Amino acid sequence: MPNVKIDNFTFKYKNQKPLFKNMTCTFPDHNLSLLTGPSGCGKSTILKMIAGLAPSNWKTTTGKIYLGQRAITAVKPSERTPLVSMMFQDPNQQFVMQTVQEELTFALENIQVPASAIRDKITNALAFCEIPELCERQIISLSGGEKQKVVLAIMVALDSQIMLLDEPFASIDPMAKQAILAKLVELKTNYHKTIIIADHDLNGYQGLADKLFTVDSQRQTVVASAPQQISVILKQHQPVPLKFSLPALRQLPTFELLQFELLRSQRLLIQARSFRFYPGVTLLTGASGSGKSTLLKSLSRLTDYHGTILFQQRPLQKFKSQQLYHQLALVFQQAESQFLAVTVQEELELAYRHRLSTYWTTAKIQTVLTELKLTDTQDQVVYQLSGGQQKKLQVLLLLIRDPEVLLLDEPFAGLDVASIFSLEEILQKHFSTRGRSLIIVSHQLTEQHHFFQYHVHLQQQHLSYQEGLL
Amino acid sequence: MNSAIRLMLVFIIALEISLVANLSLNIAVIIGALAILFWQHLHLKTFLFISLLALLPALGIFLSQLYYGGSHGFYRGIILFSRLYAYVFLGLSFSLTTSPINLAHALEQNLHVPAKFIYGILAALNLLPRLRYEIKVIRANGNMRGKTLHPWQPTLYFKALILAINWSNNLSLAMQSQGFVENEPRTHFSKPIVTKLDWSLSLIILGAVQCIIIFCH
Repeated sequence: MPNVKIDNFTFKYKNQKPLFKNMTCTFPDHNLSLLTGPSGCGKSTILKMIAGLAPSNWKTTTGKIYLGQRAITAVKPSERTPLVSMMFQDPNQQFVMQTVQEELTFALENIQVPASAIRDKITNALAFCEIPELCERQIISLSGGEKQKVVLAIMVALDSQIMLLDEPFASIDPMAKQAILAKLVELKTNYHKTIIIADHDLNGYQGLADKLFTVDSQRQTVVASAPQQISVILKQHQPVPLKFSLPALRQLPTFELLQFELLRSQRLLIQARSFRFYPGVTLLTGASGSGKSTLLKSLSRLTDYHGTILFQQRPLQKFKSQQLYHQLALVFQQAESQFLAVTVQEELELAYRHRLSTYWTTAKIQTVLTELKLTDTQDQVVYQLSGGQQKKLQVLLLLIRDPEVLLLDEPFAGLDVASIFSLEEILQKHFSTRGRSLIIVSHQLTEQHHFFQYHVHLQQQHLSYQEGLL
Repeated sequence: MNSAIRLMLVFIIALEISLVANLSLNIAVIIGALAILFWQHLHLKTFLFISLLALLPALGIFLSQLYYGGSHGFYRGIILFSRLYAYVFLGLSFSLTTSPINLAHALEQNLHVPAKFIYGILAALNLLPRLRYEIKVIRANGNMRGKTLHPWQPTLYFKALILAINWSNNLSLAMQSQGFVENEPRTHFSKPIVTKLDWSLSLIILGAVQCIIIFCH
């Protein structure tokens, strides 16, 4: 089995300073390596270069990447898949076909598996990933976690020697993450695969990761941790139990669900005879695929539901679009969907022009930009920012708009701990303490106390308030 | 019948009715296509809806020929009127009876169209329902951010375009990471076959079309 060796490697994007300079490091074979570092540091770039998927706007590279003895440049595209395959961050955009079975068939046909062997390989790959029931399902009807499991099944079916995973867990819950990690460990131990995972979030890797690499943006290189340090570092990243209050029942709710039913492709996701969301900061949790994102979409009237939703004591359907969205806004899971202009500067001006209150001033915006480390990006095109920078900008734009209620769908996905802290502080200081309400779906929970007031857990189609995190 | 053969057949007939002004041929094509459609359980509602939808342009063409077409205006009007319906039902008889995936397999394996096009188009088709939803989201997002996006403003299309470019990039990465390489051989799990019956049926239909052209004026 080959290792992955990066030798004296320099890389820069067009019109940007170099991400890496004379970097040398080796991801050993038959190991599960974890590559970490703050958002935007270039983890994704390293993996794409190893996979031979050069980004379209890359500029100069010197140095070489070896897969075993062979330089990646000497590997023909047709020889690449047996060597290396990759899972991407966004589970929505990795599929060509309509159903899981068609997708796996497509992949196996590509690597020229004989037609007679295809059915067995599909059955085995799905069985290995413990998702045989998804075989006939339409991909559009799967949850994020289920989609990533299907991508894992594709990688298993392709049987590449090196498996790369680029932020694969950013928008799926800890249980799905653990399930996928367990499978990866099995692939490493029993099938001798070389596995490299890029993840900014070190939660859940204790005892599983053999090697830990950290991107050092200052020195433009990647640093390997000493073996005895790895478990120490990973131990610090065990989830910390959080405590929440239970809401006082006598206050007026922001949202009230009555005889409410939410379905996704004929499958019942949520049922609530009567449930209330109260003013304050509410965390919404639940397994991936349980319907948290869909619930936020129904609260912001982007998806259909049965029954009634009262928003500020008035049926949601009675609002005119403009009137409704003057009072509430949804921070989408995909940051790019939220942008309307081209550069960061233009986005900020647009948000400032359409702000609903006079709270934000240019000075305040500048301060927050510094806190979020976005000052240098103002002339950049929003679509070229890193995933983490996009997330931070997106949240800031809707804060400047300043509606009464903000719904946030995975606002911390792809952010490192420091960024999450500063974003939470900003949300608190400039929004929630001013009597405005937040409902947040997040898997990225830090030990920051007193940010979330309430915790709503979604389990077996029911919503309930919880004091602990479960 | 094999989807690729069916596509070629429909294409040739459509070409012939557009080149030859023959009322009998148009009516024969309409009757033939309707026969196939009702045999394949087309709902009466769908049929009426589509017929009504096509009536407006068909009447428009007919009336313009009638009033401005000179001495043969009525006859030309009728030809064009029936030709439009022939196109509509011919197209419908193809699209309602052919699944995209079968057509894709047939085009790839029987007609040897490059796989890159086939799977690119297939993926794009699969993204269509998402596009409709995304446009709804784009407009709602405009309202959330205080900017009403009207269909006549470029922002809406700019956002849709950005989305499409992004999707195409990601899709190409996804295809590559699933082992797809342009111009490399692939195996095929389902093999659409072209039977002798397909060929003879096509020849009979085409022969009948030529007979109508020659003998019925």
